[in-house]
Amino acid sequence: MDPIVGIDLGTTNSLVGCMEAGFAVLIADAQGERLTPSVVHFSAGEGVLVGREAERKRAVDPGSTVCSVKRFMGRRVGEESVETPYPVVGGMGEWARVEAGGRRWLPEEVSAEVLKKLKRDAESALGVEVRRAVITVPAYFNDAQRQATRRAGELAGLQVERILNEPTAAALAYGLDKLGERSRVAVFDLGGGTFDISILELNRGVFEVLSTHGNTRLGGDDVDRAIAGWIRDRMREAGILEAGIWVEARLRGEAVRVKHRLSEEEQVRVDLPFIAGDRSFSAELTRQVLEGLAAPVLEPVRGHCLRALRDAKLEASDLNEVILVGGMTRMPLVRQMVEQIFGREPNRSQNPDEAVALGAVLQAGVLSGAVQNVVLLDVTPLSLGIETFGGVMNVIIPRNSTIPIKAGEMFTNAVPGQSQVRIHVLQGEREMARDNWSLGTFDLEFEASGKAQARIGVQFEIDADGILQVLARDTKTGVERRVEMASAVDVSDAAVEKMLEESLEHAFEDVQERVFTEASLKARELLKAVGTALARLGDALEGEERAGIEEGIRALEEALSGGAPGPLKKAMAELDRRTEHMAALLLEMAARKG
Amino acid sequence: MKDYFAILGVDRRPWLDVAVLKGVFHRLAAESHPDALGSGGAGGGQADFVGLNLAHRVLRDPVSRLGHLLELEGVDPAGGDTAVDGELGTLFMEVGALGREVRGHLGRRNAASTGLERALLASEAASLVERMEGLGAAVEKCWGAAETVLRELDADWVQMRGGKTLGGLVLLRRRLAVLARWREQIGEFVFSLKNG
Repeated sequence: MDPIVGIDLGTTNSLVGCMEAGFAVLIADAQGERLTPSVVHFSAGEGVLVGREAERKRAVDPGSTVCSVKRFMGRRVGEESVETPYPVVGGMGEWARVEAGGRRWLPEEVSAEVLKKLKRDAESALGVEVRRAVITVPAYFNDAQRQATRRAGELAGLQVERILNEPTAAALAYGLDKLGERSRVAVFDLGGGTFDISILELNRGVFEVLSTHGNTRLGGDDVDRAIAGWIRDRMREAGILEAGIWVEARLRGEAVRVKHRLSEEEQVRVDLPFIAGDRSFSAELTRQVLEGLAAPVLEPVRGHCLRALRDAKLEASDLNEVILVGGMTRMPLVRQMVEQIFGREPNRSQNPDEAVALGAVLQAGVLSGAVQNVVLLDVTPLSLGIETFGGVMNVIIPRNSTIPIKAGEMFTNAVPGQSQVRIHVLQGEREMARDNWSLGTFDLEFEASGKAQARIGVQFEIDADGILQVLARDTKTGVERRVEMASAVDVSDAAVEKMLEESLEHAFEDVQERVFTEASLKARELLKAVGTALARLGDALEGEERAGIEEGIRALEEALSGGAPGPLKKAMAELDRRTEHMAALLLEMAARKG
Repeated sequence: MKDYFAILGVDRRPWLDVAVLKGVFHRLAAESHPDALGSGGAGGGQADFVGLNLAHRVLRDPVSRLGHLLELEGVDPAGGDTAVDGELGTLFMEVGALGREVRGHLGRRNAASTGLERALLASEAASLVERMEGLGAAVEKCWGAAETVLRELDADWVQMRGGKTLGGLVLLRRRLAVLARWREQIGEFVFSLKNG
């Protein structure tokens, strides 16, 4: 029997497993490790290294070592602004590519190297060729990101039997031994690069996702970056000004280490021997300081959780459990946040690194028939629609619709003799088409006829992988055909050329001046707000604080008349900081009134 | 046209217990979902499940359920007298006016770039939430009343299945549709005001 493996293709680590004698089992590699770092090293001499071997190259050759490539899957240049030690290249609107080992790679080509390694590990463990797989993705991945993941599997020589949402997989791992029960659970999944929150109803083997929300650009990486920034500031204070990608790579490595340690300990020593020539650096970092750095980074998860609850039409108290998965949920601060949002202690029964992979294996078991009496009903995370008159998005399939699903739409000619209409397909929640993700365009051909005489039915189908298929139906013959979509921002596309032209024009503008004008508008707003707040608070403010704020006002007014954007921004940030306490007082007053 | 009541195997009537309906949907989904048939199994699985999925979507919501029921009975759900009655007319004005105020507030809050500017808007937000929730309560009351009418018409329907009921259902569906939209809008406004 041809086995189907389950794969968790993570931002930081990946895992593979398969069903064995009715149980989901994760597979270890030749070194006995189940976690494979999602790192690929490209070098001219040694070829391609994957996993731990590649991870070791990160410090010595960061420019040719690609990590966290998941962030760029299905992304276009300009969509993702994260800084990386390896170059991310491509023209505006093109698919993002990474440059390493003397050539350019699509993110799915890099991911395929990780998948190939997992495939080999599975083959040596199972003793047979592995050709089929279930691969997990963040629930909030859009169509392009899902398709890129599927291509990664194909490039690795795997037939992708299902693209499975990570929190749904984790719910399966959690709920498999509780099939008799009926309950509602939330899965809180915070990984290296992505955050998902899914709310499910479990009912005798049916795992129905009620809603999902998330953020594909929020994870442990962002906390690492904040810690690295803190270390850099302390180094600068110590007079170490060394920079460059090697320093960055070491800072990042150290940030990860101390972050992990601070989940167990209250205080650790940051240690960077010989970071600048023969100079070493070390400093103490407490958990409290770490939490101060991490809290603002993680704050958005609150809104995502509340949104998921609202979309599921539930209150936090309606939930039976909140299940934690993803390595970042080891951080005490994250657990506190979850407890505060949902008003209950979270369930930590699942191994945060392995639950998703185990769920992927179980779903592979469902597909092969090894797991019986289980069915997953998942949803599409984003609304699907088309652009209509006036650049508005017209929703055809709303977010959180159970998939697979189909929705039909009729198109007609607006003017007599019109022979075709271009349909622009979008994904997202914003009102205006341009604010949403473009999935592509296609042209529908009409037979020449009078105004509104032609009729073409189009079926939009989201399959069980969450991927869109478009079918056009000829109403006369009833024949359906699959419509291939063109990437809406093809490089040859006039819109992109225009975009490029505009950006060139902008390049000739005085950038400094534009930045200053924008900042000065904001500065004037801030000054106005400070004035209002001072008047409203009156004597509630201590004299010293008031004096400090007034000094900040003077500094900002001075910067405004200066004309340089740098000092202006600095003065704004300073006044913003000096009015933090005043803002808190105002919030308190509002809360008392409300 | 497809009969979604038949697909789910439930009685064709105006009122349904949505919890029971969901149980039926889960049971049938476990049978017809393409995964449950094993990969490479019967090719009809996906088509069957998509039909079931649509049937559940339509029937769980009273507005689309009534629309579907009326269409099955050969009645145009959008036909008849389109005037909105007095009570809803007053609410309509209030929802519109307060909605504009909230949109203005949210626009200012989105434009605010500092904590202080947002804090200055907090007391306005609190009073808007209060007013919006008051309006929400009024809409909920109307919704509850409309649901009572739905149960009454449902009882009539089970007894006689007649033209009189159909006319009443057309009016009720319109009323429910308007109220459902307001409930959604008000809920969304309160959510945005509270959670940024």
